[in-house]
Amino acid sequence: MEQEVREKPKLTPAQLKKRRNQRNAWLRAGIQAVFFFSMPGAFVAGFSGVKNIFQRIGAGQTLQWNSFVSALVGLCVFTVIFGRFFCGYVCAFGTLGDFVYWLSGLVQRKVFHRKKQLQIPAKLTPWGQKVKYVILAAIIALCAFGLYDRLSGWNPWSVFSFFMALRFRLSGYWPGLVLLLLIVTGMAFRERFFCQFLCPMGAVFALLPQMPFAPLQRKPEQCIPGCQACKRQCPVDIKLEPDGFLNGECIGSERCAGVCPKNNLTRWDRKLLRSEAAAALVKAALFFVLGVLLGLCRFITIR
Amino acid sequence: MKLGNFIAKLLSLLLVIGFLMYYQSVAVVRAAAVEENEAAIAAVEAHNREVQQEYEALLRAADEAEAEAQAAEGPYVNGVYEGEGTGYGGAVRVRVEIVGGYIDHIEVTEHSGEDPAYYMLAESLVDAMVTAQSDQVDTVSGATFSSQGLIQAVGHAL
Repeated sequence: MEQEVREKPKLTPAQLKKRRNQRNAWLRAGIQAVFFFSMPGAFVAGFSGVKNIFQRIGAGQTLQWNSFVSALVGLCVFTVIFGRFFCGYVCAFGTLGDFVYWLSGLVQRKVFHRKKQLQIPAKLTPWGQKVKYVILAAIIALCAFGLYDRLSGWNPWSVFSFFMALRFRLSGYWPGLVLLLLIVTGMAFRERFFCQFLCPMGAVFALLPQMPFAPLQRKPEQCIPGCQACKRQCPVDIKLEPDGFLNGECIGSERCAGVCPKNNLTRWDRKLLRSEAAAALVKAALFFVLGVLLGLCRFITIR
Repeated sequence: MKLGNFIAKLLSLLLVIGFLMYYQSVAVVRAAAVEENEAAIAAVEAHNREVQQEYEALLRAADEAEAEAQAAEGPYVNGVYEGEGTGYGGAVRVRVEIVGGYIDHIEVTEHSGEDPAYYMLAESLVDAMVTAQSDQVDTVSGATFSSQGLIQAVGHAL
């Protein structure tokens, strides 16, 4: 990259930064696309681990170490160490959300000539983000009381997995399809609508004790007074309090780091590898290996 | 208080893990007791059946040959059967071997369309169907489609 800088001296620092941000955005989209097609069931398998544990407790059975529980533990350990990289770069539902939101913005700009994308009011964000905990508790209760399997037709993730397998016969799954359509509608009017408001696995991740070094670190004393660039970029409205980045809601979009005029947001992996792109690629490769070992990849079977 | 949040969550997580471990220890003891009870019940039932069979053997001493033929044969016809069902990502194929009229062995010959993490759970149904001597078993929660594919394939073979 430094070489390119010397070859094209005409670019201003601001232009270089813009170019770098665009590259990182494309890299993220590329990684997301790879995982979207190779591991679309990762999030559901991990959450099925939660369901499996509580269904067995409800039925009075002994807990069992199976592929769903190992997927859950694998996702959780990865998240404790690296923060919610899984949410930001891997999860198929997150990728779907990003795609729908981007498409909605494009349509609103080009077709309806709106300058600003129509949004669900930010005032509702803190309340909305609590909803996922209610959903998590409700699903755990349904599992523990043995009622969950009776509601299988309501499961929007099942319908999503149908589509991913290119199956379009949805007999019995109409309530699930309606819920999925509602979720996709929400995704169009709020970035990461599902992830921050509804995702029960996101609730599990947010409750995990992520290592203090896992999220991006900000040194408030080095900030430009009054600058709120990172906060305005944040898809999940994280506050600028000193420990705001530790509250578990960060989904790892890493957009704040790109927009910061003083490059005041960084993390150990980015410092170590001296490159944001390399840090993302290394973590993606690590997760890919983990996912294959956990049996989450559609194309590779390991016994 | 940068670490307060982390420590609170760590303690909560340890609490949850502690609860699950405590539950597991209780459940293991309970499962062992249940197994013991079931073994005792099975022993008594086996004894009853033996007595019953002796009694019936005495009753049907006249046409002994017929009774023997009936006792030896299970509900299925001997042979090796292939079956196919639709799983999550394509066909699931099985080979069912019937020996002595009973399901002796089920071999899954094709499951490449299933996601490994889901298929591994559904695979437990193979043993369940051999034990049940039928395809009438419940699907594994979370791996419904792979389960249905397997059950369908075995049903087709039978």
